[in-house]
Amino acid sequence: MTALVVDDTAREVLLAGGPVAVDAFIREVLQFSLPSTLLINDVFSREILANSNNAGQVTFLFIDAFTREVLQWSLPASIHPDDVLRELVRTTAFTTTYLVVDDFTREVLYRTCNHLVNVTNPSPGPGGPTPPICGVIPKPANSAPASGGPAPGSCGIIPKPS
Amino acid sequence: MATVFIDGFDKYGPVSVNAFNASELTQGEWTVASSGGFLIKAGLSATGYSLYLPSPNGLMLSKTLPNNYSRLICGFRFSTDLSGTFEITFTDSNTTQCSVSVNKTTGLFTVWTGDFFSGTKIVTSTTSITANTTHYLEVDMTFSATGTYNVWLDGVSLLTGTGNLKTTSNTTANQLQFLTSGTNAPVMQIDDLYLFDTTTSFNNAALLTNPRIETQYPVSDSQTQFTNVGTIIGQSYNVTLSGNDPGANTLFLRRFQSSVAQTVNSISCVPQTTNATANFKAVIYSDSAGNPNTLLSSGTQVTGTTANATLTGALTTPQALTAGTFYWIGFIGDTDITLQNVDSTTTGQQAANTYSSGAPATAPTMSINHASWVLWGNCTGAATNWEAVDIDPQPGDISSIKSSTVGNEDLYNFPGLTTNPLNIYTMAVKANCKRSDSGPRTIDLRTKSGATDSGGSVTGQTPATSYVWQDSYFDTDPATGAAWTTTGVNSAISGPKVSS
Repeated sequence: MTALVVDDTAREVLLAGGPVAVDAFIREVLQFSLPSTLLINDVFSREILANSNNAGQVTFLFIDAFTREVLQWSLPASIHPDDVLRELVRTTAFTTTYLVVDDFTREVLYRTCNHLVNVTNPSPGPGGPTPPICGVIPKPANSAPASGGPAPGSCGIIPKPS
Repeated sequence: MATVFIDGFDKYGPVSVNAFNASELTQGEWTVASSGGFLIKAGLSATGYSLYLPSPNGLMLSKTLPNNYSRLICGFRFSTDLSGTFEITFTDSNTTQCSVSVNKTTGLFTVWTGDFFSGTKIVTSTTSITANTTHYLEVDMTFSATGTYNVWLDGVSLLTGTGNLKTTSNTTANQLQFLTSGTNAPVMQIDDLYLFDTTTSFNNAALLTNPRIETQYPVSDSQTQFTNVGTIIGQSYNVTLSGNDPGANTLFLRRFQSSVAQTVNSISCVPQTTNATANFKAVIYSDSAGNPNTLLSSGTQVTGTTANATLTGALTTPQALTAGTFYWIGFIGDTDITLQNVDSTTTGQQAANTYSSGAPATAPTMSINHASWVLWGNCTGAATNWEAVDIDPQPGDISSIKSSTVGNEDLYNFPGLTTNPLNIYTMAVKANCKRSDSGPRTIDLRTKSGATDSGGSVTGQTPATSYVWQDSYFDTDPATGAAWTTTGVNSAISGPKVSS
């Protein structure tokens, strides 16, 4: 979507007038005023957002199927709608809002083993729970391998000494 | 949604001693991460890294959740030295509803109304942990005056009952926080975090198994519709605050491989000192058997450095790079300037070189084992996108893709899981992304499995105008509606889509 930036003068006029009317005549006016690289249909085929931060208020300007008469009716008598639209186009900076992606990842939550938890040095204090063993036979006490590694089939769980 | 959030703490960069960077990176995913407080350490499980909360300063890691939840289930792997108390809290707009603490010195677990600083103790375990042991803690809390609590340690029930699990007028929580207490806070590591609610039949209860999180980055394209803004060759981050001065009248280089065919236009480094007259010229050399060889291109002179500001030297003739080929990139300089180092490794090489003579056509014999200076080449022209979004930690705009066209979708292939899991609980798809200005733009984080292309748990997310992580969760395989299989995950492709 195209962001439409309006200068203070045009903003005041347009905000006072509410939704801006654009009929075929004004389209011609605008087309004449627009840069040659910008097609009029690109402007009006979608809502144009005028994102103006006026005293903290974000206001929106929608240009679609309204009539020139609405604009004429909304404006002070001293201001001609064509002048407003010319000023609008003249002072408008068209910018495009991009979605920018810097990094993309997947994180997969899974379990790999039947045992409950891979605990290092579980050693619960007095009254602590027996380390969970799921589907494995705890190794007898006082027979830990010299390397200190887990008992075969214990999936890394070191049984609590009995 | 059933999975509310998971974090493997794997995407915040490699093992780090630079606390500022770790906090800054974490804040892209978490709402509050105490500035300068965190480090990245080796993982507490088989893959990736963990988040390290060093003593002695009290720290807070806070995540504002997408909704208000009447019940939350959280699990995480942890280790602590018990030099201080830490707690996990469930918070309603910054007021703690309830918490579970691990007491310093005793290692006992307590459930609190409110938090352990000022709350009311409900129950304390008779089971303790010892310092510097790794455990998996899971808690299930219902936020009401007569709420049910369950706490499991390593899959075994530790505490269960009912109590007052709220302090506000709401019976909900919308923040998850980890806190370590003020002075003499404990050293603590966290890894493999999940957070579930109970809104679906998947992931609506504590797992009570041995879960872990494996983080994957794209390895190739399946579909590219975004525009490649740029990519880098080299390393643009630092996990240490240290620097190194290659010296005046020096040629200094590091060796990097170009992952794809692209063109390098300029080369950057990060001086740590300010000097108005120092001169640099970028250079790139070919590689011959691991040594710099022929000068491929050199740059226009850049004069002046600013402390900790990136210095970029344009190459007079941009250099085409071949996929899979190694190159040596760096600078010639005329002044002693300390440069930021990536880490404590010593992969840099340097040689004396009279600056006024320009870059030598053939690299001289180089002195090896110099600092791994922060050096990278700024590239364009890649025909692929995956390499722009696969860098940990994320480099920012210099390696990114963009689109403003609604419906544009990139899809990437990912490596197979490193193991064949017994159960796959969920897959998170995450993008570090932003809007280029304040105009409206939303993103979907898509996964395509078989012929089914899904946006997961959250679609149409509006990124901020600075980079943050946006997440979407796939608790089931979109193609089957059933739990993921290893084959399903490995075959699925994922990527960002401009949803509006």
